[in-house]
Amino acid sequence: MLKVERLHTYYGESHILQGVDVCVATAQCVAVLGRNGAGKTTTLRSILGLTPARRGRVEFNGVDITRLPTHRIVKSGIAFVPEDRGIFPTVTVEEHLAIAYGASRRRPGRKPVEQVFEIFPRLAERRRSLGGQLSGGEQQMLAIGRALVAGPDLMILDEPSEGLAPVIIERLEAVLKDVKASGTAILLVEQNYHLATRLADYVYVLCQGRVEFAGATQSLIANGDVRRTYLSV
Amino acid sequence: MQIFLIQLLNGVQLSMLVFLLAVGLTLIFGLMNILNLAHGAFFTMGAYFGLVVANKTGSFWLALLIGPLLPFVAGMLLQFFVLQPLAQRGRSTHLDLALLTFGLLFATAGAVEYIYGSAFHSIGTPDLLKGRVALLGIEFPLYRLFIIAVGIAIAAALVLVIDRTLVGATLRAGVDNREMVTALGININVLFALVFGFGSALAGFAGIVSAPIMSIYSNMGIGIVVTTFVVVVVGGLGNLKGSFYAALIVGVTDTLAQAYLPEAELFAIYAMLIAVMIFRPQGLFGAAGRVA
Repeated sequence: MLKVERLHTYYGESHILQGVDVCVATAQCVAVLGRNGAGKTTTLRSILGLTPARRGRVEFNGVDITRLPTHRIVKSGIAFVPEDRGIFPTVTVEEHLAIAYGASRRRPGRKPVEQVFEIFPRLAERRRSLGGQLSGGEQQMLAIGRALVAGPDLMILDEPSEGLAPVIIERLEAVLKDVKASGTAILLVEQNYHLATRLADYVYVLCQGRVEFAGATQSLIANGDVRRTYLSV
Repeated sequence: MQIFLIQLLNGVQLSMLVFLLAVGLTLIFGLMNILNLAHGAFFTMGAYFGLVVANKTGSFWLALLIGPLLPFVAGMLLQFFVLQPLAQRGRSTHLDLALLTFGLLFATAGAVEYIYGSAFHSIGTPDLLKGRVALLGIEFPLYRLFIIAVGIAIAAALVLVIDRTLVGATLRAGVDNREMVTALGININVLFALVFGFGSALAGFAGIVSAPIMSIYSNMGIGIVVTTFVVVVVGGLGNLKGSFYAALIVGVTDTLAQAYLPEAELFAIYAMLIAVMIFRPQGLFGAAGRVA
């Protein structure tokens, strides 16, 4: 469903992505692993058109989206949960979801705000709170809830477990498993190796803007060399 | 005491006029990060288009209704076809865009002078608002009270829209994190163009509202954009509520300085601007408020 081919992305003159290939199949969960600065976030940003690639091609549901503006890429069925969670400090919880709901008018599978509140009851309690007043865990739930509203075909998450307490990570894992079970594909960047390998079916390991390993999660777990060299686990 | 009251009300009336301009300037800066010095051009444009309508129809109210349409369309086009492509991905710096819009401000004044000459024009006060009203022991022109009422009504309507509606929530979101708004599937350039057009229309509206008490002339937008700029900085860039309070402070200070300290008139508000820049560069009304 998502096919990324030989992506080259630059920040100014620095050549960050040097020919990255990534594939995600329908209802599959794919994790991108690697150390800081390996190009994981840049890969996601290039797919979304936030940092457009200079060369290469991104295809989604059979359509070339490489040069589309971000809002059209998102409208074609991709939802994004950025690393900083992208919560608006001056916007209430309910409004966050309503904005996403309004923006996904043409998506048949979009979820009314109340459905998100069923998944995250905590958000319902805080529906009138401003984004800036939420705890880190609540912000992450809101970011994921907001992504679910659109009923996306593919959900892209950048380090969703970062800075969260273990209980909340457990909750996050359960929610993401439900998302996957409901047929939504997931592309995940994670520093938390154990969480990533529990969730993902397929794994890419990035180092210095190149894919150094690609394979089923089991084969990464079995491959001690790759784990030690690129992930220190 | 009576004279002081009259001056105070005059100050409030000037404040409301400047506030109508500050809305656009501060929203455009907060949302698009563009310092739009051409804002004064829309004030001029609205006033002259209103003058044309008033001369054709003889109706102040029609002028007030139709006049802002020209700056609305011109503002939208300027943002969508000129400023947005230039600002895209940091192609032009703040200074580039400030200089470009600064040039547009003077170009508009020049164009207006070419077409209409340098004469002073005016739109007559509508019959409904002629005369004076007795208020707290003074007689105050009804039309000036009307300007104060219009300013307060527009401020209240804006607060309602921004705090309570989905469009308002989207605007706040855009000021907080522009990129994330696009990542929700919203075409932010269209939102930007609409806000730009709306801000320009309000500036044009102010131009027509001011016509019965101030003159319409080619350079009218240049002086007022400077005062507006002071208001927006004192209120905090991008902070709408801050702009309202700052407009009151600046308008009243300016008017009282003219009345009681004519020697200070030319620099009173600039001294305030400099003091704010030094001691509270985020504006008097805090970064916390922002657009909300």
